[in-house]
Amino acid sequence: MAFGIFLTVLVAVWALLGRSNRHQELLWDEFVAAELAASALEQAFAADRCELTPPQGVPVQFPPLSTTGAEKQLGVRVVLHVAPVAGQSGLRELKAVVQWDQRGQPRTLTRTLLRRVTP
Amino acid sequence: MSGPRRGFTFIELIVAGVLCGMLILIALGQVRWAARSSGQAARGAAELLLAADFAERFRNDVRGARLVTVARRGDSVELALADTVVEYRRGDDGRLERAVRRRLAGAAWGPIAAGPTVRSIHFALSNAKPDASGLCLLRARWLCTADADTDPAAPAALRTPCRVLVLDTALRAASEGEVGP
Repeated sequence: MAFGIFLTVLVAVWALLGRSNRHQELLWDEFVAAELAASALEQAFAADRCELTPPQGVPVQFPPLSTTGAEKQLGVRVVLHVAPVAGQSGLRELKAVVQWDQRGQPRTLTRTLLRRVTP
Repeated sequence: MSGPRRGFTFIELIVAGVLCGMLILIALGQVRWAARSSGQAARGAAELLLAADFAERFRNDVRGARLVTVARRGDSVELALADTVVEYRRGDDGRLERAVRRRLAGAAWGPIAAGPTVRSIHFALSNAKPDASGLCLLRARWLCTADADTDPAAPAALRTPCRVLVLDTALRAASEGEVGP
């Protein structure tokens, strides 16, 4: 009986810690993805010209996100969409869509920014 | 005719003692593992908060900078604001540091805030001269580790993976001469 209680507690602790680590991983991935989206928008904001993109967007290139084997490969894909704002000829909507894989589940994060352009 | 046997034999007592000892040892090992793992998770959450705080501070500092000077090796950056200079660098303890100094000749570095643990940092200006929009882009690349005590020799399951933070921030320079090399 003591061994049974011991095993139950062991499995419960293991499950709790596993879930806690998974939450932490998820939070880090969300944070990194949000900063990548912000970086893509800042790049587009600082660019000389603000060209409209095709409806499917254009991929944004970043330097390799991993340099050593110890780092986690997020496998992220960042796509930038630039579209006109309806009724506002001097405004463009910049939208960065970040997609990555969270333990086999695809996840998406979107950030938008408005930029004024000279017609 | 012999009656029911009473008590345990010496061998039975030895076996029971060894089994109890093994169970106690395993339990103590599990408690130590649980405590260590929960401590790692807590440190990871704390590092995440620090990294988020520093990323926001960094972007705000860059946006308000009038002069940006990136070190030749790219391991630190100085941002001159209206009346202060803010430097981001990697401290000796492996933590990202934000040091503030008043813009006075010979003024010592003032408050230094310790940020997340980083294995490496790199700063770069994408274009030293502002383009037609009058904007430059400063890129910071921080390799954050979620656990300050991560032992590289530890088994992979115990190591918390690192995250590469890319912080591109546009900044407006008053004139092209104000942007450092």
